[in-house]
Parts: sequence; structure tokens; C-alpha cells
Amino acid sequence: MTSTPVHTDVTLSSETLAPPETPWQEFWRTFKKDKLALGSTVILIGLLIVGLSGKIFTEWIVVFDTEVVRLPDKFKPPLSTPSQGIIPEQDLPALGLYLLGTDELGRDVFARMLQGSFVSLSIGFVAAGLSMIIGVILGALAGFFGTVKIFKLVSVDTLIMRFTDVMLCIPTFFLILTVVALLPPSIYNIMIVIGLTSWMGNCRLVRAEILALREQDFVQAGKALGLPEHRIIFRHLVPNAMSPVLVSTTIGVATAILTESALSFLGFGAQPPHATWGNILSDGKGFIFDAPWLVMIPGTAIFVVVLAFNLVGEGLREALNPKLRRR
Amino acid sequence: MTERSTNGQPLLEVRRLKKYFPVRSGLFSRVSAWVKAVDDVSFMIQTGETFGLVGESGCGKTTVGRTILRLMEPTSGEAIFEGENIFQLDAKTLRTRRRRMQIVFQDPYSSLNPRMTVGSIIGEPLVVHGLAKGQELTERVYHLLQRVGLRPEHYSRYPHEFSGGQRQRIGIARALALNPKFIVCDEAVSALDVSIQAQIINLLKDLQEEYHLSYLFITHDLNLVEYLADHVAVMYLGKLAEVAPVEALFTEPKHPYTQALLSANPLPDPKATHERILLPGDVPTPLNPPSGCRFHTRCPRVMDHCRTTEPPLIHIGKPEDRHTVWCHLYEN
Ligand SMILES: Nc1ncnc2c1ncn2[C@@H]1O[C@H](COP(=O)(O)OP(=O)(O)O)[C@@H](O)[C@H]1O
Ligand code: SF4
Ligand SMILES: [Mg+2]
Repeated sequence: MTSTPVHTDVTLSSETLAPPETPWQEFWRTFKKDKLALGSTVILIGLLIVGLSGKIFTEWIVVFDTEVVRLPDKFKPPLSTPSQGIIPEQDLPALGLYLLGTDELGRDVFARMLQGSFVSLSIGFVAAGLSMIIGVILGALAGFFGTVKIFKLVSVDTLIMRFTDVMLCIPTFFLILTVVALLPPSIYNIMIVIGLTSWMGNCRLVRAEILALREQDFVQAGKALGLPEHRIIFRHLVPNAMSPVLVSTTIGVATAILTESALSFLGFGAQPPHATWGNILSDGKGFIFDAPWLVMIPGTAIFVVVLAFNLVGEGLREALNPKLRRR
Repeated sequence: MTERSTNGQPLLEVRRLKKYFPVRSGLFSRVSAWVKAVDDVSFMIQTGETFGLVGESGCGKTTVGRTILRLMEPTSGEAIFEGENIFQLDAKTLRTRRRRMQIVFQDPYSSLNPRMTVGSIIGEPLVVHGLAKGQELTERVYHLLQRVGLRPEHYSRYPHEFSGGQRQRIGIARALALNPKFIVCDEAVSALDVSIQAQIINLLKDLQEEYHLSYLFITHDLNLVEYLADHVAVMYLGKLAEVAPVEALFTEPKHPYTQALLSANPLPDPKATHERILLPGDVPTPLNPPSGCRFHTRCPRVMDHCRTTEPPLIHIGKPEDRHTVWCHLYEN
């Protein structure tokens, strides 16, 4: 085999390449230039830790008890100390201090916020994740099997996209309200309902990306190499179509958190005694002049988290885009 | 220079290939017209041969190459490859036959998946066809990398780190991985600088010798065809104008279109002169091609019946010479 005369030029191959950089490293290099997004990422990581510890320390190892009612100590402002001698020993707050004050039943707002952070975050992630999965699968099918007809009648693309249009026509929030009013109000139902009603944007994004990618030569090459369709879709098309979806999913987490808060505020969200940021806010709204912290604290928390997710989403958009433009 | 099969059985015979693209319009996207991108094209390619396919942009060259590989479904016709009609294979058989015929693309940027390493791009066909795994897979990919002039350390790099010429080498290695007999090179060097073009052309020549490959070499560059091809087909607006051995085509072109193309081609020797035949008008659209001979709107030697009657296939010399022309000038 090697006996044939070879005059392949080797100068080109010994041309030195830049030091190896995986797509991850490249992504990180671009992303960290965006200081706002970087700061927001730090906030979100902190929040994740808070959320997890919320689950652990209010439900598993009860350090911060969310349910103790201390009527003598109601409406204590943040950082105040419990009234000496009136509150039984076992009902004293963990740090000997009401970090974020107490509500109208004398419950520790800090403990309730901590528990609520886990609920809010998990609703945000599960709902946005579900909406991403549904959107990607439907979008990929619509984009890839565009012209394939079902029962010789409508194409897969038409079917999926018209269904998407129908879903987009329905005012999502009212649909959620209706469904939540009919279903037992648990946080799982809320996650699922939000996820099931917010995938349309992702579906359209993925379909558009796949329609464009499908004509690219590397997909044709895959076909020429005899790769199975599922491999072409999930190894070649979907990974290249994910950038806009990741951005929209990040922002989707924020939207889901807002939706859940709004539901709780209207009384359709997770039910008491389960604390969520939305229902702390909702319960507090009656005492907005006597105990403004009951509204300010959950309001600020929601605002910061939603803003942080949006900023991270913007940062992702920037960091993922140059790759697409440069091709 | 190249080994030719002596038993006369061609490696690939394309018969009466047609590919019409539907043009949809209106409320219900009804098909309102057809783009006749390839309209009744027949030719054959011998084992070990480089078969050039030339023509202006938009004349249907890419469509020919891709329908033969079933990257697009043909409208009608046959493509007999190693005795089997490719157009009639079911999906499963087609997948195994794909190992025998491959393609190298024009655009070195869009032809490689930006999210896969070079190693997995080249190794993927081997994995999918169950030809190698583990250590053996890595070694075969190393060997392929080396064979196309890249280095083993390029294995874990990503396509965007390479230059256009290097990417084209990666594309060639991927095409070679399955050990094919026949490769469609669709403008494989057109996007590259001239110096890089020469390197890739030489690589293709070496590989042809080493693996006894046959090429369908699609290009609009006549100089490349003259240098590389053994046999050439000239295409105009979805139809063949002339098919001839490369020497015959360049020394005594028969079809008025071939003559015009050659006269417009800059000669490698700047002192050589020849009369330039200027063609009037633009290439008509394949949506509504001219009647009769498709070239009649621009042909300097057009006759009356060219406008109404399609020219038949006419052999120049003996049929074994494989020199054919579609032009009324050569009737009788
Ligand atoms: N997918 C398609 N749909 C409709 N028309 C097409 C499609 N692909 C190619 N064509 C048309 O077919 C003709 C031939 O195209 P092509 O084979 O790409 O030519 P070439 O490779 O010689 O430049 C062109 O007029 C082009 O517009
Ligand atoms: S058939 Fe007529 S129009 Fe066509 S190339 Fe020949 S002479 Fe010209
Ligand atoms: Mg082309």
C-alpha cells in the first residue's frame, strides 16, 4: 500500500494550529467578557445553593421551622429579637433572631423564604426544562420530516406547526388558570401545566434552525455515509440547533417563576402551609402599610432572580452566537 | 495512467436521468411548474476513470451528482452501479451500498459538523457500519488522517480550527473511511486558493492510484478538467451537449457550446491565442427551457429546425470511442 509513489504535500499539515480550544473553552472565553451575565451567574449559583439548603434545612433537618406560630411576636420587623420569656424555648428561631422578620402569625419569614426558594426554583427549572424538551422534539420532527405526509393528507410539518399556532392563540395565563382551577393545586401540577403551555417558542426556533441546517453539506454527508435518521437528527441537527433554545430556556425559567408567583398571588398556586415566594407576597399584601417587609422581601427576591436569569440568557446569546456566525 | 476495466462493463451507467423540482405557488401550494434541472442525461463511467462534468453554474451538475448518490430522489431514469440499479434499492440495501460510493463537497465550511471533533467525524461512518471500534477505530482514523496529509494530533481538534484546504482533507478522509470505489467530487477544490487547489488535486490523484478510485469530477473550471479527467461530459441547461475523451474534447470540440466554452477559457500559455466565440444573451432558465435544441437561443450556428426539433445523440467516430454529441450539425 505504501509502495505507491506519494507526492502529497505535507507542508500544509505541519502548519501549526492555535492551541487546542474545545467549544466549551471558547464559550467560556466569550461569556466571561460579559460582566453582567457573569455576575448574574454567580447570583444564580448562590441561589441554587440557597434553594437546596432551603429544602434540606426546612424539611429534612428542620433547622429553620416554617410552621411555628408565635402570636405574641407577630409583625416583628427584620433583624429583631424574639420577646424574652413569652416565646417557649423550642419555638425560638434558629439564630436567636428574626432575620427577615415575622408575618401576621409570627412565623419566621426567613424560614419561609428559604423554603419558597426551593419551590420557586424547582418550578422554574422543571417547567422550562419540560418546555425545552417538548419544543425540541416537536421542532426537530417538524423541521426534519417536513414533507412527509401522514395518511397522504397533511405533512408532519403542517400538523405540528398548525397545532403550535393554535396553542399560541390561547392566552397562556388563562389556560393555566383554568387548568389549575380544575386540577388539585399541587406544585407538580403547576410545573407540568406551565411546561405544557410554554413550548411553542422553542418549537419554532428549533424548526427554523433545522430547516436551515438540513440543507448544509454535513447533513448531506451524513446521509451519503448511510447514517440512520435518528443519528442525523440527534447527533448532527439538534446539537447545532440548540443555541437559541438554551437562551430561550434560561429566560423561560424566569418566566415560569413569574407565572407561579402570579398564580400564587391569585390563590391558585401551591397551597399553604407550603410557602412559595408568590404566596408569601400574596399573604403579605393585606399588611403592606403595617409590615411592608412582607411584600418587599419576596418581591425583591423575585425581581432579582428574574433579572439574573434574563441577564444570563443575554450573555448566553452573545457567547453562543459568534460560533454560528463564524461557521 | 489509470487502470481501466477491460471487460467493458462500466462501473456506473446513468441512463435517461431526469430530476424536476416542483415549483409551488398559490394558497394550497399546488405545483404550478417544474424546474427541469436535469433532463434526460445518460453517460457511463469506467472503473478507475476520472469522469469530468463541466458546465456553467446552474446547469444541473450538482443535481446529477446528488441524484446518483440518492441524496435526492430522481424523477426518472436509472443509475446502474456495479450491475445494480441504485434508484431501485430499498432503504436497507441502499445503506450498505453507500459504502461503495461517496461524495466530497464544495464548501469546506458547511461540510463538517462544527460540534464534532475531527476524529469522530472521520470515525463515525466506521462506527455506524460496525466496521471498527475501540483501539482499532482510533488507529484507522489515525491512518486516514495521515493518508490525507493531516497529523494524528489533529484527532481531537474541531473543524473551525482548520484552514479551508485542511478541512477539505478532513472531508476527503471521511469519504475514504468506508473504502469506496467511486467518489463524486462536487466542485471539491473550487472554493480554495489556487496553490491549495493544486495540493488537493494531487492528493486526489494519489488516492485514486492507491485505492483504484473512480471519480465523477464536477467543476466549472475547464483547466482542472483537462488536467485531471480522462473523459468529459459538457452540460448545458439540464442536458448533455457533448461527451468525449479529454484529448478529443480539447483538440476537436464538436458541439458549438463546447467550442464556445473552450474559446472563452484562458489558456495556460499566455502567448497562445485563439479566436474567442462570444455567446449572445444569458443562459435561459430551466423553468422554461427553449424548445428544440436548448442551446438554440445562443448558438452561433443555429439552423431553422434546431428551434423545433431536439437534436438526437450522434456518435463521432466509432461508438467505442465514447465520443457523442447532441447537435443537428452532425446528422449524416
Ligand atoms: N432543491 C431545489 N429546488 C428547486 N430548484 C433547485 C433545487 N436544487 C437546484 N435547483 C435548480 O436546479 C438547477 C440546477 O442546479 P444545480 O444542480 O445546483 O446546478 P450546478 O451545480 O450546475 O450549479 C438550478 O436552476 C437550480 O436553481
Ligand atoms: S442543434 Fe442547432 S442550435 Fe443546437 S447546438 Fe447544434 S446547431 Fe446549435
Ligand atoms: Mg453545483
